[in-house]
Amino acid sequence: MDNSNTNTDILIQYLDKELSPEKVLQLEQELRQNVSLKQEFENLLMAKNAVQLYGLQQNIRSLHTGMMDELNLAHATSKPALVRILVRRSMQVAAGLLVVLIGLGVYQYLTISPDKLFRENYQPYQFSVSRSATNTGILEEEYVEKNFPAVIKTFETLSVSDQKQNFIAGQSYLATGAYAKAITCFANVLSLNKPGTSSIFQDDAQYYLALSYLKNNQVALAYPYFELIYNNSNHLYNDKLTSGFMRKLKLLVWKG
Amino acid sequence: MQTNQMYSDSELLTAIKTTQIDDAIKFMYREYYMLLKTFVCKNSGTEEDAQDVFQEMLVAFINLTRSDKFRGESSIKTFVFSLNRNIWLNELKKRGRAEKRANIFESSKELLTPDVSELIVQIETQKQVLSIIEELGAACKKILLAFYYDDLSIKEILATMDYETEQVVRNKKHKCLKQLEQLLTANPNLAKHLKIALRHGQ
Repeated sequence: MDNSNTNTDILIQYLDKELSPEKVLQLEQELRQNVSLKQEFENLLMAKNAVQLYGLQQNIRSLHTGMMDELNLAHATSKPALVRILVRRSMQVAAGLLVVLIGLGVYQYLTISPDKLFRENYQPYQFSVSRSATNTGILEEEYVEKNFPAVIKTFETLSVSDQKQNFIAGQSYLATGAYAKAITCFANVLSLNKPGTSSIFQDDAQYYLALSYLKNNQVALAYPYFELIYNNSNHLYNDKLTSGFMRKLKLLVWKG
Repeated sequence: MQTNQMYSDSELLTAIKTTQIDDAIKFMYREYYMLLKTFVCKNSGTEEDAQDVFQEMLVAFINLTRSDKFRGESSIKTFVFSLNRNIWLNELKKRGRAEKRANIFESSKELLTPDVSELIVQIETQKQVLSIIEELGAACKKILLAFYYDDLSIKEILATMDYETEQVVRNKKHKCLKQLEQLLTANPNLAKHLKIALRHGQ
């Protein structure tokens, strides 16, 4: 075995963490001094990382078919089941269908409320953990810990606030029942974003602003935002709004 | 009855970085696939395109997370939506659908982050790497994957393959890794991008 092969073998053992501590120290010293040796080690490391990437791709491929089957099955079984139930029920109640529909309409009209619609659609926003020591980082950490009063206190000390800080504060006001303040914060996010250049938390702010208006009994103001989200299939929250929800919302607007 | 694992954003990032990767991948399919598929299908893509793009997006997202390049500036849903969209835009560009791409770009540019072009270069590099690894023989791929992805010991690999001794397996693994290194470094430009794309915080 020539010297080059010996070096490669030692580098691979180092890569695999198979060298003794003494040999590790010796090799690391050589790596600092020998540029070509260091280059070869980096290339081997790159090859190892490439294998791990390939493994990840294979892993995803192996799960893909099963997940497609699961998702397609869920999609396929939900529709026929729904159709069967609807047909059977409609046969059974054919004679009284009109009465039932009218009854349902009246019931929905009487029982629907902004609060009920809000509860059906509201889920607190989740952030990933942030460990930054900036104002935003502190707000985010307090929010992740669900310490909403602390978020609000920190936010109210800021002289200037950006989109993310307003968004976090809006979420906290919403969670603590200060809906008017939540509205102000989410509206701030939208006004701070410049059309065509920045859109930080744009979709999120639109959705939560609409929910805040709803909770604050300002249905007519909530409606345009919900309509915008419902009509835009590229909107992040498009899948949250069903035709049933929009129907109930229209009923609320009509109810006044 | 089997229950599906649910994760918050931070829990999902932790799962991706640990051994719960299969559960994390399944969760991402259940949570995001239908939404991302709708985008591709509504923008000149087929169901197959959507599946390919989603898989590419997963590889890229998990690699970015594991190398701490995704720092949670936005929610995971926002980020993967943007990543998926940009992979599809890039694919449309390669297919020469310039007009369609321009329309989608106009309607979605507000979500692009400044380093998206860098991400796209990384994703393209990853695709080239994956095709280069396919040039290795089946035995090489099996040994390298078993050792570097599945974390099996040489002894465990010996039990699953037709080799005589652990030393033979070890020699074969060294030879295969060296062969892969040579394949990757044969293209200096690819190697340069690859080192950046695959850096795992060493």
